[in-house]
Amino acid sequence: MKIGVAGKGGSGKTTISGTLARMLASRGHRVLAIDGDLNPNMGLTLGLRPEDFDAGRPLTHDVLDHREMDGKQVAVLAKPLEEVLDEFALEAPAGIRLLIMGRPETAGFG
Amino acid sequence: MCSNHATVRGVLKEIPDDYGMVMIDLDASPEHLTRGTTRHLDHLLIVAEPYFKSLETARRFGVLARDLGIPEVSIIANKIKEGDLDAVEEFCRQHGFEIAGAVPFDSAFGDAERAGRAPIDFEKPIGALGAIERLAASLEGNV
Repeated sequence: MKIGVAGKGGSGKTTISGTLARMLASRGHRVLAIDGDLNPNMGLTLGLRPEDFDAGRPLTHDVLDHREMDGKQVAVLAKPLEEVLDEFALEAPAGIRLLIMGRPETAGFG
Repeated sequence: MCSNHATVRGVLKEIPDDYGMVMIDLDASPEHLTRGTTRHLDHLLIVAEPYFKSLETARRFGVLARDLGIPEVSIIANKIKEGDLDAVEEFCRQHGFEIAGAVPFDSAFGDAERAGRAPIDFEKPIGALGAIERLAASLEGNV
């Protein structure tokens, strides 16, 4: 199940999404967390130390291949999901894997 | 090509349904909805505080999420103090949203943050975590 958490700045999105992720992991689910904020801090709410979180690499565009299917551009993973996770995901407490969408220093290249 | 959003959208689409639980923390701008980053979600939880600007933002996000075709869109009332929940319930009734959960205001969240700790790992108990645990249990029911 793919769940997104949205809301106005300061509403408590990250506190709730990170805590929910930890609780779902404790309840026995395999959990993949994705920090979709270009100023990421979900890692801290998941229980990572700042220095470990700062070491995480944001996802790069080349994880996707763009193919033409029925005249339309379709994006598919360039390699198996497990390989993408091994390359980019941070290991957070409770077995959670965390992907980061971007960081402020890379945002200008969007 | 709006790269970061497009990358996350593409990856999200490619995660198989039986992966487990995927939890994405979205940024505060509506771009994740206007650019379709969140198109492949099963459920969007919109966190709203009990005051007008926060609820109005939640309403706009909710409309965009429905337009995108996200199957479930619901509201989490957050930082709720006594009497606040009525306003959120009234708002949800007016706009046809379900309330997925209500998390009480708890100053211990700020204490945890100042101590550099995840709320769930904080030494002092945080009473409001009970409401988030109930939310986790209800999400499980939807699997």
